[in-house]
Amino acid sequence: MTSLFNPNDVRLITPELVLTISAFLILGLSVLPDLGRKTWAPVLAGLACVSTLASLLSFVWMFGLEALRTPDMTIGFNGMFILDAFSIFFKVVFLLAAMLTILVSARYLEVERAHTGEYYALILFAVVGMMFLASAGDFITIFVSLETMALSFYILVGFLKTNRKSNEAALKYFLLGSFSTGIFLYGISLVYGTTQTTVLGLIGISRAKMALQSPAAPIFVLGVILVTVGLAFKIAAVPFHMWAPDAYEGAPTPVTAFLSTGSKAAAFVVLARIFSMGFLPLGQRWATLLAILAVASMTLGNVAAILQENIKRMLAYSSIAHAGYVLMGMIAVGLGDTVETREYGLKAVLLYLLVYTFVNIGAFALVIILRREQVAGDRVADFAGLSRRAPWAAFAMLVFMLSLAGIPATAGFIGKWFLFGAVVKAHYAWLAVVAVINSAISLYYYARVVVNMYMKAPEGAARLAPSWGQRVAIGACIAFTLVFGLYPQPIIAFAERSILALAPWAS
Amino acid sequence: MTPAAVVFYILASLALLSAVMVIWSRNVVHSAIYLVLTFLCVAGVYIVLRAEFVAAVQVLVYAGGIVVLFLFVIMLVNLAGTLGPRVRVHATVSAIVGCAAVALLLYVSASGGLDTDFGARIDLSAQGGNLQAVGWALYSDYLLPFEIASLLLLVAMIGAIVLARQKY
Amino acid sequence: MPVPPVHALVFSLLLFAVGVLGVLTRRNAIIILMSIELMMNAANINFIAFGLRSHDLTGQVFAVFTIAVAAGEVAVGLAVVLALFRNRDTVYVDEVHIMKG
Repeated sequence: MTSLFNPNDVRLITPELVLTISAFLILGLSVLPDLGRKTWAPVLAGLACVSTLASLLSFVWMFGLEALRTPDMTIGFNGMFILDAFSIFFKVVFLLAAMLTILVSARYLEVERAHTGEYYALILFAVVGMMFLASAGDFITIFVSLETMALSFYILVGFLKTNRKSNEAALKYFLLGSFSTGIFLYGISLVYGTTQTTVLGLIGISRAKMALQSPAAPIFVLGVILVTVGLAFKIAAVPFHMWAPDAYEGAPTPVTAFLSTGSKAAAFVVLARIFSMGFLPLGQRWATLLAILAVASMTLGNVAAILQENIKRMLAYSSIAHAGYVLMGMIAVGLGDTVETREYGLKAVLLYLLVYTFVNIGAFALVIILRREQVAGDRVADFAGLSRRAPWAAFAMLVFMLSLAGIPATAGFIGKWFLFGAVVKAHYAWLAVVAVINSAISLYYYARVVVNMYMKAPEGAARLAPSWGQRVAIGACIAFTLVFGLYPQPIIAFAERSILALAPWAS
Repeated sequence: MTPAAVVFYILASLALLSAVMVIWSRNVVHSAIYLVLTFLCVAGVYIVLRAEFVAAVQVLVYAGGIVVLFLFVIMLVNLAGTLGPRVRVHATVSAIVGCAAVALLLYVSASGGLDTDFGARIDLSAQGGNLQAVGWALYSDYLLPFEIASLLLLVAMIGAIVLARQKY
Repeated sequence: MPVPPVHALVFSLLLFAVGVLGVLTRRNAIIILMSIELMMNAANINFIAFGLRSHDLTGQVFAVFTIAVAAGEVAVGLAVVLALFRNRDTVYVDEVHIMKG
C-alpha cells in the first residue's frame, strides 16, 4: 500500500497553516475569562494583522526572494493543490485585502459594540478558504474551499445580530448564496458525469472535447452553464446580482469592503481556473455567455447606482458594474485566437482585481470613519462639506472615486486600459464601446460624491477621529492608487509573470 | 427487470412524491417530516447504486442530524397558526424552469446519451468493501479537501454559536 | 448497473427541479432551506450514479463532502433565521425589507 500523503506537501500550505493556527489562537484568547472584550480586543486585532503579514512572508521563506519572481509550478496532495505563480498572485491579493480589512475593523467594531475574537477568526478562516481556492486543481477542493469562504461570509454579514439590517442582509445573502451553491454543485455533477473526472486538468486536456462530440453533449453543456450561473451569483453579475445591494448595505462596513474585493476576486480565480483549465475547448460558447452577463452587469449596475442615496448601496451597484468590466478580460481568454490575446485577457483580469482591491477598500474605509455613535454615516449626503471638516479624508475619497471612474493618473485607469484593450484584441470591439459608454455614465455618480464633499456646506461640525489603523490603511490605498497610477510597470510585470505558469493553451 | 431495478423505481418515485410534499405542504413541521422521508428514500437509492457508505452517512447526517436541527428551529420560532399563503407569485419564472427541465429530459432521453466511457479505474466492490475503499480514498487522495472540510465544520460551529447566542 | 444511467439522471433532474421550484415559490425561509437541501441531494444522486457507471470512487467521495458541507450550511442558515426571528418575529422573506433601491 502507498503512504497516505507525502509529508513534504505540508510545506506547500505553510501560508494557510500560519493563518489557521493564528485563528485558533485568537479563538482561544477570546474566551479567556474576564478579559473577554476590553483588554484583549487590540491584542486580537493586532494578532490577526500580524498573522496575515506572517503568511505573506512565509512565501518568501518557501521560495526565497529570487525564486519568488518566477516560482515553478508545484503540485501537491495528489494533484489537489497547485502552487504556481497564478495562485500566489491571488493569495497575495487576498492577504492584502484581509490585512486592510482588519486594520479598518477595530474602531468600527468598538463603535458597534461587537468587538469579539470570533470576528477576526472568521476573517482569517475566510482567507484560508480563498487561498485554498486559488490553489485548487480539482472540483472537490474548489467546492469545499468555496463553501468555507462562503460560510464565513454569511456569518460575518450577520455579525451585528441586534441590527435588523444586518439580520436581513445575512438572510438574503445566505439564501441566495446557498441556492447558487446548489446550482453550482449540480453543474459539477453533470460535468463529472460526462467527463468522468473532477480534475480540471484532465477535463481540459481532452475530455471536454470528447464529451462535446458524444451524444451526452447537451448534458455536458448544461453542466457548464450551471457552473457559470453558480459563479455568476458569487461575483454578483446581472441577472444574478439581487443579493448584492442588500448584503452590502446591511453588512458591517469592513465586511462589505472585504466581501466586495476578496470574495469577488476569489470567485474570479475559480472562474479563471475552471474556464481556462477545464472548459477551454468550449471557449467560444462560454465567452458568448459571459458577454451577455458583462453587458447586463455594466449597464444595470451603473444605471442603478445613479439612483442610490446610500453610499454603501451605490458602491454595491458600482461593484456589480466592475464585475462586468472584469468579465471582459475572461471573454478575451475564451475568444482569443492566439495565445497572446488569451494571456493579455488574463493579465488584464489579474491587474484589475489587484487595483480594485485597494481602491474599493479605500473607499469603504472612508465610509467606515464617518460612522460614529448615533451617526450611520452611510448616506451620500453625509459626505457634504467633508473638504472643510477633514480635508485629507476628502482628498482620499476624491482619489478613490476618480480611480473607480477610471480617470488617467490613477491605478483604476491602468486596469481599465488593459481590460478594454483585451476585448479589442479579441475582435469584440463593440463590447469595449459599451464599456466606455458605461464608464461615462459611472462618472456621474462618482462625481456626485465629490461635489457633495467640495461644494456643499457641512451638515454637522463633528470632527473625524480615525484610529491609526484606519489612517495606515487609507494611506496605503492612496499610495497604491497614485504611485501605480503614474508608474504602473511593477504591477503590470507582477501580473504578467503570474500567468506564465497557467498556460494550458500554450500546448 | 431485476429486483434491484424495481426497488430503485419505487424508492425514486416515493422520494419525488415526498419532495413535492416538502414544498407543497403548508405546515412547516409536515415539510420536515416529508424531508426525512425523502432523505431515507434517497439513502435507499444509494444502496441500490452500491454506495453503502454514503447511504449510511446520509441516514446519520441528513435524516438524523439535519432534520432534527430543522425541527428544533421550527419549535423555537413557533410558527403555529401562521400558515400563510402557499406561494409567492413567481409563476413565470417557475414555468420557464419547469418547461426547460422537461424539455431537456425529453431531449436527453431521446438522444440516449451517456454512452461515452473513458475506461474503468477502480473496482467499486473492492476487497474490504465499500467503506474501506471510500475511507482509503478520503485519507489519501482527498486528504487536503478532507482537512479543509474540517475547517468548514469548525466555521459552521463558530457561526452557529455567534449568531444564535443571546448576547455578544 | 441495476438501472440505465439515464433513468438515474432523470430522477435527479426531477428532484433538482422540485428543489428549484421550492426556492422560487415559497416565502418561508425554513422551507427555502429545505428546498436547497433537495437540490444538493439531487447532485449527490448524480455523483453516485455516474461514479457507479464509470467504476470511479470519486463520485462517492464527492457525495460525502457534499453531505458535510450541507450540514454546515444548515447549521449556519438556521442560526441566521433564528437571529432574524429574535429581532423581527418573522421567517417570511417577503416581510423582510427595510432596505430598498
